[in-house]
Parts: sequence; structure tokens; C-alpha cells
Amino acid sequence: MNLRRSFKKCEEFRICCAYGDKGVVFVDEHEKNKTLYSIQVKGSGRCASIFSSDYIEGDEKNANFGCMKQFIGKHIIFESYEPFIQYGFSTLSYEQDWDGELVKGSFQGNQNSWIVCFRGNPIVNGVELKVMDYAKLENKHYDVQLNDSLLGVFTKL
Amino acid sequence: MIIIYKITDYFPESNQIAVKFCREKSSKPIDDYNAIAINFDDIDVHDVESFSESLVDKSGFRRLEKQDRKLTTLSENIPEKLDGELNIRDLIGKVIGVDYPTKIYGRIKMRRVEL
Repeated sequence: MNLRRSFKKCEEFRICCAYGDKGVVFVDEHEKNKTLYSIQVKGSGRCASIFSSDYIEGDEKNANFGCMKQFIGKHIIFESYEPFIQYGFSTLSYEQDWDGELVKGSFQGNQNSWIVCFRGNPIVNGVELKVMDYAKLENKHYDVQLNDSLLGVFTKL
Repeated sequence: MIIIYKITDYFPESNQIAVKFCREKSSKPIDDYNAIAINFDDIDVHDVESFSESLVDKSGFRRLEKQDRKLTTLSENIPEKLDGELNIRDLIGKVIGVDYPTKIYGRIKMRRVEL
């Protein structure tokens, strides 16, 4: 069973990544679980709070962006159905909530927002992004060519 | 890789053992290595197998890393540090190192850009 996990604390948030084989199971303790959104870049799997049969599924095609707020502060368990890459967007503090969504096209930016590229090479305002590029947004228009990428925008509430 | 160990002394009054570690494929006999004292309060003593694995986890790996650092690396074997996108052709002919056992936890390489 192959599992790798990695993390990066950015200015106002944290990104985590898990990737591995089919059938991987891992658990996050409640103290460490501040993940607000999960982004399924590859493969599929399911996630639940421990001892609960109420789980959510993620897959790269149909459910690649999931809200994880129901699990905040709880022990969570993840199981992969197939080889997978999954990112998480986490708050630095339980007191700081965020709103998150995938970018569908050009949009009006907000100075409280950050944009993160999870997959592909979108072009935003003429800049070609690579996987794991991120930027702070401003109150201005952003012209986006998605090019089949996965681009998330997260706004501090 | 197999790590071997040999207990050379037991001090029940202090709950300690003296142990020698080395790789099974070492060019020197295990008796030629120095023993270290290990307090086995934190060692799993459920059975021999658990004890051995716990001993190696807690102390053996570190001991071997220390032994490795004392060895010189042949100039031909010094690995290059590489990262970024994979292009197999760029790797041909290069010596590349991998920390083993592979670490489960790492750091995501992210780049802040201005848009």
C-alpha cells in the first residue's frame, strides 16, 4: 500500500496533498483536521467521520470538489477506490471560515480571495499557471482560459 | 534491506540493553561495531518480533544513518539533486538519489504568482 502525504502553509491557508494506490486508508486526528474543501484531482475515494456510515465520495470526473466543513474538528477516515491524488484546502484556525469554489470561467476577483491551480495549465490574465501555482486576487476582472484545468478560488469570510 | 542487531548486555536494574546494529550486507562483522545503550521503556516487548521491529524503528535506523555518514561516497556515486517535471530523457546517464525508506510526509512545492 503506497501513500504519500505532503503539506504547505501559505500566507493565510494551508494546502495538503495525499496520493497513493487503490485501497489506501488513512485517518486524520481531529486536532489536525481543518480541511474545508477537498479537490479530487485523480481517481476516487470516500471520506467520513470515524464510526459514521454517512460518507461523501469524490471522483475526478463528477465530484472533484467537495465541502468538508461537516467534518471539521472530527476524526476523519479516507479510503481510495483507485489510485488517487487528492488536495485539501485548510483554514489555519477554526475561527476563520472560507468560501470555496471551482473556477468555471472569467470572473470578478475579490481582495479577500486566493486562487490555486490544482491541475492543468489554465491561463489567467495572460499568465499560464502550473500545478500548485497560487495567487492573491484583487478587486478586478480575471480573464480565464481553463484548458481543462482545475482551478479553485477561496475567499475569507 | 535487512538490519541486524546483537544485544551484548542487559541491565535489568536500569531497564537498559547494550545493542549493536548494522546492515546484514555490511562488509564488517557486527561485533566490530560499537554498542549503544538503549532504555527499553518505549520499546514494544509484546513478543520477539514486535521487540525487534520496535528496536530497529526507535534506534536502528538512526544508528545505520550514522554509520552511513562515516562512509565516503565514491565521486561517481554522488547523486544530483533534481526536481520539477519528469522527462525521462533528461534523466539518462544521471545518478539520482532517493531517501529510503521513502518518507510518507513531505512538503508541497508551491509557487506564488502575480496575476
